[in-house]
Amino acid sequence: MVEYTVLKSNRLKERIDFVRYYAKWVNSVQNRVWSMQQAKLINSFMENSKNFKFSAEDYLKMKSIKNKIKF
Amino acid sequence: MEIAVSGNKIIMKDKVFTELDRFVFEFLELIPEIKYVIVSGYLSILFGRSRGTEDIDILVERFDENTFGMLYNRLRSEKYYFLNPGGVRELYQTLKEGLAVRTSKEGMIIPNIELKFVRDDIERYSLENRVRLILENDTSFELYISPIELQIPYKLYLGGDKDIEDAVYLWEIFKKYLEREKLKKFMGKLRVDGRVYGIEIE
Repeated sequence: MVEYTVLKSNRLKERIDFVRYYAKWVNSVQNRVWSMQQAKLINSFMENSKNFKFSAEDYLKMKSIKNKIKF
Repeated sequence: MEIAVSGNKIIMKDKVFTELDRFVFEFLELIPEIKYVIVSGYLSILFGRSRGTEDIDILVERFDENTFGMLYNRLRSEKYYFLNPGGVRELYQTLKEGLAVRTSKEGMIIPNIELKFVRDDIERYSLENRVRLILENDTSFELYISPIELQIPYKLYLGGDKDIEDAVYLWEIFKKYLEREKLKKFMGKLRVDGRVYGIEIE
């Protein structure tokens, strides 16, 4: 359990380091540059979301369970 | 990132709009009479975070059932539906109880708009002090977002990995513009401390 907690905390640190690195890049380039790359990524998420198989009812159930679980 | 920040206004030029942005703009155009503020994850995405989201969180000023009925009919006529079960009365009751109702375009579950009445002082502050974001492009759009000085502490308060990452991202993008006293006030109110994540207010 201790090992898992350390792994989780290291993972978050790595993620935060990346977020900081990425934010520095976004700050250093013109809006058109970062937003064009972002649009490619998000538009692909949007395209993929069309394959989402849950019904509205199942989705709401899932969200409700997720909101109750705190890690 | 090129932005101009002055008081409760942010101008961002030349952002290439995503399909998610267009989904949000289209929805907002259908609720012109409703006072709203966009909060949470979509904000960090608007300002460049490279991640997706399932839902767009929108807080709205309380309105009566007739207004909701009008909004419901307008959304239905524009091919939106509500993911929650029930008609106008049941959905309005859900909102009145402080819960969220979700709406999306027919045939879609994700993304969806999560609509809630403001419920507490923090949410009220967010709505009353909302920031006008002007996105200037070939087709410009204006929308209202929560003050960043509140969003950073709020994300830390939520405390999930994704939330903390959003808080750090917003801090890195906006740190030279933020009102430190305001940020400190909300950090205190929500009892969070960003220093461990490099959010150094002092």
